[in-house]
Amino acid sequence: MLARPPLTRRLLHSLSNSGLLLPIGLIVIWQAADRATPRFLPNPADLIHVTIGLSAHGLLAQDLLASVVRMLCGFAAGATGGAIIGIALAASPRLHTLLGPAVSAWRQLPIFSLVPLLTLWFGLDEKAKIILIALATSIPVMLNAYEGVRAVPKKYTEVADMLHLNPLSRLLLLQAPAAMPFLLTGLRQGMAFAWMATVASELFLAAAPGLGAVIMAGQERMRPDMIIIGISLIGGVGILMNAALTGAIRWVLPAWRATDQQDNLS
Amino acid sequence: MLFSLKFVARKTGPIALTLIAFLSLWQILCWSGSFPRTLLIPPADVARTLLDLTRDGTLEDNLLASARRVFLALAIGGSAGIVFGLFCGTSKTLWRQIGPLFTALRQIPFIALGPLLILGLGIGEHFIVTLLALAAFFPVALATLEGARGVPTRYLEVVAIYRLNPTDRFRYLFLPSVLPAIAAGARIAFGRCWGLVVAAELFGATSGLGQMMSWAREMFQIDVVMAGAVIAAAIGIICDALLRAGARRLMPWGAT
Repeated sequence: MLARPPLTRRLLHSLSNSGLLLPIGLIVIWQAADRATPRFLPNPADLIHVTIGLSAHGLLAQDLLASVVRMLCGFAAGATGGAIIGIALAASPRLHTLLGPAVSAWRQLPIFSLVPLLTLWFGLDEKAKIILIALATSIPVMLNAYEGVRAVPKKYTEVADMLHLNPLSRLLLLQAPAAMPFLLTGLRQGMAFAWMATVASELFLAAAPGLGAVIMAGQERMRPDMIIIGISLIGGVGILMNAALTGAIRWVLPAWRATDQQDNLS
Repeated sequence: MLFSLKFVARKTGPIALTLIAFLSLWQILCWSGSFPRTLLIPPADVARTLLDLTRDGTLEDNLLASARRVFLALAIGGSAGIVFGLFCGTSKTLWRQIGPLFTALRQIPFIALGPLLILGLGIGEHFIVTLLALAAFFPVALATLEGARGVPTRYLEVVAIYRLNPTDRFRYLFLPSVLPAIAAGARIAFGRCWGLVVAAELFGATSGLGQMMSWAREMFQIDVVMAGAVIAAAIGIICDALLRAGARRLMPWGAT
């Protein structure tokens, strides 16, 4: 019988294979270095301690829930609107000649530059936040839906022409299914945008429960530990939601894998 | 002929049409009277405000301040991204260790880092440039990484047949594959930074497009706010088009 390698080496090997070696190493170094340096950043042990303290009365959970609900409201509105506009733009040649340049321009619109304008128009409360989130979501969803419909293979459109499909059945039978993979990619990008806009709205608009509010409270009280906890939660929730959406999409539509790789860059 | 009249008309015709449609819709909304003048002002007034802001130098100063921050951030974050991408794209072992952390970190909405950077660096140039540089780093790193990794295998085979020395391999195979990717990454990074600089200046700054807008918002100067939004959008759109055209002209083989 072969001797198994010692436990520590096996542990190190599996950590290194799963890519956890570096994060864990950094945390250990952070904790160790904390003794040597003047304290600006709290050390990881403190952070865990403070997190437990903050969540004792359900405060963090309440903030987390508020942010997620806010994001989902804006996301639902923005994704629906974006998908409808994108498909309509691509499906109608007339709309396309008129608004095609606007579509490619909209892609470059710096969404945060609208924050001062939106606050003047809609105030600082929940409505303005959800509008900002919906706007941010709608851009990638619209662009992807648009590109999906434009990318319908020509032979399919020719078949549709031959069958004299009316615009509605052409949309339902041909264009919508063909656009689906693109649309789902758009949903994924849209969710990332929505989460970013949620955080931004909580930072810049009126204070209300939310993870952004945790960060702002940390800034006001000069508490870097609260800010770091807020950032970690925001990052963690974002990654989890992205993974959940990706998993759901793969489950619903296995063929989506084909376009999965394309969206890495944007 | 490159710039024949027909070509120009075909390129600019739809854009002009869209602009006219957009401006008339805006004007009609103003005329309809359903929006109070304190909330929506006609395009001509915004244009006049833009002219005024240009004439007294306010716009120029603030625009230059924002542009300087974006440029610095792109230079710092972008070069770090290129170095990171080259190393991780060429070494599988390195990527296996760093990859998961990199992928997790790049999903964090960077705007959330603003308050932490303010606590650490204080309100001012440093925190804005650091925030933007972080935002620029990730798209450039990712694009470089994929460019370095994406050299097609059949090219590698050709190179093996011709027994190119390392210098030539770098020059004829590696660079042509990586440069267009870097250009694409830089374009995305510019878009992110330009969007983020306005937001970073909302946190607090003494100059900049975002500062101009947030100050005008507090004074209820809707015309300045709208002029700022128009300028921010226009510059974002124009610079992206220029970067795209420049990359296409310099590296026609990497057309995307």
